[in-house]
Amino acid sequence: MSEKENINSIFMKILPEKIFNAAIKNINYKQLNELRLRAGKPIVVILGNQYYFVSEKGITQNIDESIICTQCDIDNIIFRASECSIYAVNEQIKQGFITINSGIRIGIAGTGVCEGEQIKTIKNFTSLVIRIPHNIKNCSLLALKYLFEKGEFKNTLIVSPPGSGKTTFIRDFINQLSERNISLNILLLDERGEISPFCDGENNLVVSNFCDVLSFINKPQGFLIGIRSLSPSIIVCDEIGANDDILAIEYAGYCGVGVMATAHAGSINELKNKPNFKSLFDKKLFKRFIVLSSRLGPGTFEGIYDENFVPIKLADIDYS
Amino acid sequence: MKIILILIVVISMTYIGFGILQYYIKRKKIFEDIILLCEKLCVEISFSKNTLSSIISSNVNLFSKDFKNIISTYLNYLKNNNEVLTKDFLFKKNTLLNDDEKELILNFFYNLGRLDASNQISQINDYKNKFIELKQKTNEENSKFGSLSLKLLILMGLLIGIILI
Repeated sequence: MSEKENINSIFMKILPEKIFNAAIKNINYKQLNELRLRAGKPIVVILGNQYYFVSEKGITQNIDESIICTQCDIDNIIFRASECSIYAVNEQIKQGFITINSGIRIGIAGTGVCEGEQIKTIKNFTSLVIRIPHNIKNCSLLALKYLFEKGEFKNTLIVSPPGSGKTTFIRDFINQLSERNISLNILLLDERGEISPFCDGENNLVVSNFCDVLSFINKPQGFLIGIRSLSPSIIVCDEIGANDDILAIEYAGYCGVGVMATAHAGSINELKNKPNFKSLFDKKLFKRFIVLSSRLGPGTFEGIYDENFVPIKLADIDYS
Repeated sequence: MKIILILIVVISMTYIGFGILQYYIKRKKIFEDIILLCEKLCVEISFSKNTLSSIISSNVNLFSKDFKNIISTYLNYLKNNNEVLTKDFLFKKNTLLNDDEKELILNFFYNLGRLDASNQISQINDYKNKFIELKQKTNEENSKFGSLSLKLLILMGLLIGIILI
């Protein structure tokens, strides 16, 4: 099955027929980044970097022709995305998303049901953001040579605003190492099952021969389990931010294991000012910082910095 | 010739009696099966949190033919985004259940998969209790009408046979 047929069959299973026919069936899925559905509002498709509305004839820039998403559509999409088994994905719903086949992530907005400080679930869903992952081969090449020194991997943090290609970057990084026969054992902590998704027993996105994947396990537990039982050379994980994540990375740093992680920040200066990252920066656990943006489309390389935030290479200038 | 006629009458009456008995047995079996399904669902949802289609598909061979028909239609609904779960769709071939029973089973299937694990399990248990009541009712029906019909019709066949002699 081709990638397009695969994406089509997945969307056919979850989207109402009218939305599927209008939004997915006839568009260039390689450019399709996001589908945004809000109850009572027009459906928005993001192709490349451009916003479009979904009309009955296909995509349009005319809001008056757009199809309005109903509450029922949103409820149905979530029900179908959970394979008609909400209980099976409630742990994900509690964290605001569902990951379906091929790493497609559905972000969910609605009303939280809390007990004490714990979220029990989310109800009355109001918005969905459906993000489609892409395998962009060689997108990490520009930075790759700066991540090793004398064959030794430098702990790396990739930063960008949401939707700017961090996950795609780490996926390509893992594949590039394998392609170059760099036989470092990679442990991929795929907390949301979107970096290395399995679809019908196959994984088409991470094709490395040297990568072990721990899916749907939180980072602190994943670091502990992985270091103890899988003896990785490098642990790769997505979107660190919570204090527990920082502690887990510090733990790995003092166990002789390399770390590649991603975090949200608009620029290197924003990153420097993130309060809970201070201890990581003070201890200089990360030796490289890669900044990505969506300036020329998701995954635009803006620069790579050393542990003192001194640029090694910026978009068009090489300082090395 | 007379003997053949008597044999035909006796066999036909017995056959009708068996048919009526089978009707009540099949009704009872549907409720036994749905109770078994409830038990399987509760165990699998609390332990493995597998999806409904994988739980039901892996247990489908445990069920009787009539319940298997209902279950296969429900599996089609789970797999096909465009299907709508209605009484006509779910029970298209079923003549064993009455309207209220169909409505209850339809509601049971409609509500599956819409809650988190603990609430889903307690909801399934509520339905299971209702199905247990219905199973008891069908059990009584079976012993009251099913066995009685068989006995009566066999006797009637014999009686007609005797009269014909």
